[in-house]
Amino acid sequence: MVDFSTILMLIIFTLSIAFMLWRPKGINETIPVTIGAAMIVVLGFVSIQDLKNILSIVSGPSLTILSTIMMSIVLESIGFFKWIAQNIIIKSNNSGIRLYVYINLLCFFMTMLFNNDGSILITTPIIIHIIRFLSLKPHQYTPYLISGALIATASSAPIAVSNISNLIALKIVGLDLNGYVKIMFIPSMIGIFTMSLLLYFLFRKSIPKQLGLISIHDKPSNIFTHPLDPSADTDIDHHLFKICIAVVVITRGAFFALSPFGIPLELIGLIGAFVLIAIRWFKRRMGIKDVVMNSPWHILLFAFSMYVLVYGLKNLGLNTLIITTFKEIVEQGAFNATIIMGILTTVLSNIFNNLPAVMIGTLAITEMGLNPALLQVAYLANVIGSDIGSLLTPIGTLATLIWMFILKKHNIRMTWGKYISITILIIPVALTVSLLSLYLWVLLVLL
Amino acid sequence: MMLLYFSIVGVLFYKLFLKSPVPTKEEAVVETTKSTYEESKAAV
Repeated sequence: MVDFSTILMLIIFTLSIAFMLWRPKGINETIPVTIGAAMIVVLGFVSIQDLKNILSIVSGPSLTILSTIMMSIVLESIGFFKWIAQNIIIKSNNSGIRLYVYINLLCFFMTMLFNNDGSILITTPIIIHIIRFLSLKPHQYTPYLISGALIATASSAPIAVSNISNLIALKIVGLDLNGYVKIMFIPSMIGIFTMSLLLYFLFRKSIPKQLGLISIHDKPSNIFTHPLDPSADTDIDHHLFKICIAVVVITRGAFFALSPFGIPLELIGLIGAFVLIAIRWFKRRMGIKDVVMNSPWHILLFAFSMYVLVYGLKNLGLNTLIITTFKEIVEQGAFNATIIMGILTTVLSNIFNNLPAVMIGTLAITEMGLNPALLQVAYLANVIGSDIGSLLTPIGTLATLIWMFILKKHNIRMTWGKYISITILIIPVALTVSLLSLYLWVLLVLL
Repeated sequence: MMLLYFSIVGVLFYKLFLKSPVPTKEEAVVETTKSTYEESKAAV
């Protein structure tokens, strides 16, 4: 029998998520989630001790992601992304297919070097500007936009540091970054490659063969000004670009090299961001003000509040429900654990977003009493469900919602129906391939 | 291992997206040989 507390908690949770996705009058998504979290703390569904635990779990991952966003703000201010956009057009050399490959590669690399939300925020305006510059028709530009968004988001699966939900869940199951990559890199790359192939075959007739207009001898700076870059006349400094990309790469590498020695990821990330800020000051005499002002500090509160909501559900027995329903079947082996948890997180992500979904799924498996190897497999299947399965609907990830929002702002019509009519053909196959690859890879390296 | 991986990612990223597709001002200067310069000067 469901009691009054459970119904109240479910109402608060549902309303918080609904308002977060709806964002009436463009309010920040943090506001409804924080109000919901405050209500369940006041109602006593989450204790002060729980809040301390939550703070210790979410603060590190939030700061790590914040540091990568700071880095992208610094790079944007020196004309880095404007230069990339210009290069892509010229290097495509009139070929629509080459442009398609370049855009997909850019989205993949941006998520690898920064994070999924940052990648969407940076690459979507670049793609929009390219398709506008080339005067492509809607059926011609849809492949570039959708494949870019799907690849950018899915590419956060191979390494844990590109996605806040992966980092939080990583901490819950006690897996380290290197352990994650060892098991997850190959299966998720197979999934992303499958997704790219399917997208190409689906869109191959819509991608224009010839783009026209640009030749390789055109001067890049004459082509266009990137909308993200307010300083259209920024001088291109190749030496500075080289130093900056080296700092980003070293920071990413340091996450893996230094974290086994107990150095917190957030410290490494923040040092990397401050090194970039210092280099910019040295070369351009630009201070820290723009980085402080433009960084989304609210993600600290957002991640904390979201986790408070999930903890409220846990305390009222949602986890018990998942555990009693799935424990027996998950315990039977790696295959069941992979498929069941991958599909469960996919379904939950597409109902109420992947951040709470992966938290709920991960908390549930930690209480199933699984052996360590099976626990890790179930967790990694959760991540695949949350990073790839969640792309089925726009609700699934915040990155997709941000993408829809950017398209709307630029008057590009992308309905949910149109989005789902494409993802329904791609995501279930990519998810199945990823989960089966995970199972087979785990048999090789873990069991 | 991951340092090597990110080094490869970094180099690829630079070559694909940051390296100039047309000669930069510095490269153009390097390509100008002394003899060409002298020829031009003589022609003028």
